[in-house]
Amino acid sequence: MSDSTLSISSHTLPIGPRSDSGRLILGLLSLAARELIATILVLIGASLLLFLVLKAAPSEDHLQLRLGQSTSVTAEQAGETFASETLAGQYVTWLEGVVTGDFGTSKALQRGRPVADLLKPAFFASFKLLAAGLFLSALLGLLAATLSIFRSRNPLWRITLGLTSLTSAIPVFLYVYALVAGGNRLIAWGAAQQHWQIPGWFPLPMSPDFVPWFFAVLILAVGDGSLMDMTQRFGSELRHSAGDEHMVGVRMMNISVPVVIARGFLPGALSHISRRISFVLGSLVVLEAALGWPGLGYLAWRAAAERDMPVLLGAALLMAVALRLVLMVFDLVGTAADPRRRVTK
Amino acid sequence: MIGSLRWSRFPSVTKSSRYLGMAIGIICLVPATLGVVAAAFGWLPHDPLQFIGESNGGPSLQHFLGCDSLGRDLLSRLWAAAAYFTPPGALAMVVALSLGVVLGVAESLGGRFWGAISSWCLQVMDSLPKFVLVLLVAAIARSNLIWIMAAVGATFAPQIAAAIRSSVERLRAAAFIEAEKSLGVSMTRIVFFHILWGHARHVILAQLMSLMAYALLVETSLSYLGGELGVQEPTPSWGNMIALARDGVFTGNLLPAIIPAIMISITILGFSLVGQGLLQLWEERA
Repeated sequence: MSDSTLSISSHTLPIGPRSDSGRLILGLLSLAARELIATILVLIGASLLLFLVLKAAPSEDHLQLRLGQSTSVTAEQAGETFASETLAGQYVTWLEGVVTGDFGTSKALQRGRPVADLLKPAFFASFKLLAAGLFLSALLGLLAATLSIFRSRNPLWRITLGLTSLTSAIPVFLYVYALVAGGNRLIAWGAAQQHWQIPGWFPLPMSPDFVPWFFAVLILAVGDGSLMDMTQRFGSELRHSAGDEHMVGVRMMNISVPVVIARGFLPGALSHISRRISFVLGSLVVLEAALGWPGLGYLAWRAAAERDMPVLLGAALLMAVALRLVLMVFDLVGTAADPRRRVTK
Repeated sequence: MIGSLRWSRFPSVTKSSRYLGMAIGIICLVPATLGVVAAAFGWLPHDPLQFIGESNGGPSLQHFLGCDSLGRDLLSRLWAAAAYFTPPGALAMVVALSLGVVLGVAESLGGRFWGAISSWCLQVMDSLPKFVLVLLVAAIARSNLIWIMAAVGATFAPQIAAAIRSSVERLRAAAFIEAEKSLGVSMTRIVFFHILWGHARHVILAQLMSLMAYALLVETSLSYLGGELGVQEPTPSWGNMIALARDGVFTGNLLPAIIPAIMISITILGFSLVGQGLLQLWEERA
């Protein structure tokens, strides 16, 4: 038996990327194609759901969708035409515009400006914050989960874990409130006592400098239960991965245990992170709204507060697309990492 | 070698730590529960909407926790806020449970067609960022908490459905289920009584606890941020109480901001710890 294949009855299953890299790439491409089709179907469903929610509104909010997309006729004429169409016709008309990148024009935030122009810069600003927050949360969660397994009987460590849970249960908006109110007071007091100089980013949250940005990332990584959830799920995944029956065989075959554990842990961890993104996006909205930082979350909150439906729907759809794409990538990475998943897929 | 020695212990959560966590969680939920009971039985010390005390008045025998910046009793408002949140929070649970059970059971037992349809519906609901969907509903429903919580429940249904699907798929081929089938027990009874109630109730309850924590987070966040999206003054909410006391911090009036903040944090922690404990209990049984 070679070191990279495992014979079971009459079958020989590839258990590592070295065994048949061509088959692996083909398999992953086929999986990616299937995932892409599924993603398109799901996104069509998501757009339909958003459209129906807006149609269920008691007011005339849904008419804003068509009003925004029309450029050749007056807003009133476009609204009348849109209202006279069937439900399916209205949806198709709106979706056509969305697919071609025409989300309509803003009705309240920046009246008359194309929504796509508002969404594009906001998306990139938020994406950096979200990616950094998720990465930090996953890193801290993995660290805490690993230590909780090795040091589970150490009372000091258990108290530390308890405090981690407590700090993680604090909502993001409370952290922002404490940061702005407490941080500014502390900096001003220190400067008055001549302990330090007033930094360039004072007062918070006026300047998107690295220090306030880092605090925002930290808040996103810890608050709204993110860290507690990551620690809990990662701990559970690690225990499952280390406790699987095949670990006996792994030891007998003298294969590196940590590597096998990591490969078993990765798909579950990625799947959990992808599920967590939906929640962290919510935290991002609150964080940006509370700090007043320009981003997709702030835009969504302002649009909701001012009932600017084209902007709100555009932001929701953009987040849904990003969420699905990340999910797809994570699924592919998870499949590539874990040989058992690859065989079953 | 070190790795294999360490990992071979198959580390697991100890019973004592699980029960300690659940006990702390239950203790964390006591203040909010007291508030709900006090408001339900009319035992609030004062009317939470009446201006009866001194603006930003400190704790006294008449007002145990002092007054807010408009002179309203802080303790009464804290408890009333807990009571005001409870029915919409329960609605979120009902919506999530109903949708989750229907879609989860249909996905695992509905055959190819209904299974695929249910799976697609769940993926569609899961693909939308939860808070943004809630924002959309809040914008349309003009800060009606009932609709907002119904939306929270609907966005949480995929989590409930996933738990149900996993339980049904794990147990559908079990020996006792086969035995029940051969005894002529109906599939509905097997699914709802033997699988969901008999084996999956801990995990469903754990998910409902997470939902309550999330619902509270959404309600308080919306009420704090304003924009006519959350609970509006004068109706009490822990979120709008902090928003009202926001500027008091700069004048040294910390209590009206700190007490609702503590209540939010410990209640969310309580729901999370109880949910975690239930989940670990289920994992141990599985």
